[in-house]
Amino acid sequence: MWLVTLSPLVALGVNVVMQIISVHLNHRIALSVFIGLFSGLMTNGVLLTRNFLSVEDGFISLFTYLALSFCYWAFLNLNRTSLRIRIVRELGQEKEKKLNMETLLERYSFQELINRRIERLEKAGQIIKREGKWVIQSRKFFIFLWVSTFLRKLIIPAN
Amino acid sequence: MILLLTSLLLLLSFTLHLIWWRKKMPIQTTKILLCVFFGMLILSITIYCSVHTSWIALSFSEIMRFILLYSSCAFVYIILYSAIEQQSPTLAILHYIDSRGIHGCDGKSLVHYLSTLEEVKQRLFRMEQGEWIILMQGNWCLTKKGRYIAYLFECAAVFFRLGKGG
Repeated sequence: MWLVTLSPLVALGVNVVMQIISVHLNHRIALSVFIGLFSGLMTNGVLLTRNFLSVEDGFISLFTYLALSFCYWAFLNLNRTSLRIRIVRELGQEKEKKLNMETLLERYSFQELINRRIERLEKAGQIIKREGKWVIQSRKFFIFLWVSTFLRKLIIPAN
Repeated sequence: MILLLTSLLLLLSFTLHLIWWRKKMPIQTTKILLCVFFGMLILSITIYCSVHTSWIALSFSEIMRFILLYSSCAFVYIILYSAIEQQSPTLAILHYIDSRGIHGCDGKSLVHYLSTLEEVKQRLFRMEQGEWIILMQGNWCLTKKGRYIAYLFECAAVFFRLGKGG
């Protein structure tokens, strides 16, 4: 009973350890995240099959593990994609921990901000350059775009 | 039963968050979201422990499973909330390219469009509201909280071998 309860946490632990080992061995972050997620999933599966209670418990355990893994992935991703973390790190690396706006924008220019995102979208197969112009290649991310726009209109007051 | 209870409590917490935001949007949104979601969890467990009802009979391990499931779902929502509050530059790029139809857009017009959004300035404003940074004599300075966050992510970058992002 208790092993089933704790299985998402044990699986998350395996996920984190495997991800760290993997990133130190092959230096590829995307692959290491996948290895970590898969190892955790296998661990969770083994723990559930050995102590099977019900389909509902299996589903709860799996869903909890995936949600916790998402949180861990989001933490890793913050360092790679977040604008706020980049700004905070730029300030943190300064001796006096302060920068004016001009220097900050020099360190992280607007062009760099766009180039990084275009590169990521192109790598993910979301956009493609045709005859010098960017066009949409896949609509996979649009589900998130539509859901976030709907929730923004629902939650955030217009004024 | 656990799935049903978790869904109900998540729905209740979301409704409370919705009413609060529609009435008056707080400045420190993440902190308030944590208070709403985990306050509701503590309240529900307190009520459950004080009022024993025969139709909801949960063992201790089932309560733990409920707490884990609810907490993980709440964290996922709180993480995703920043993308709801403010459109990410990546989604803004996708939205703009899509609005240009099958002809697409060139790099120049994309840069022009995004420059109107003032992404960096908006983030700085949010960080100031969240007490990460403070403007002193024309310079952005890290607060104590900001220094801690910078240190945490700097260590994480070294430990997880992550380069400079943004």
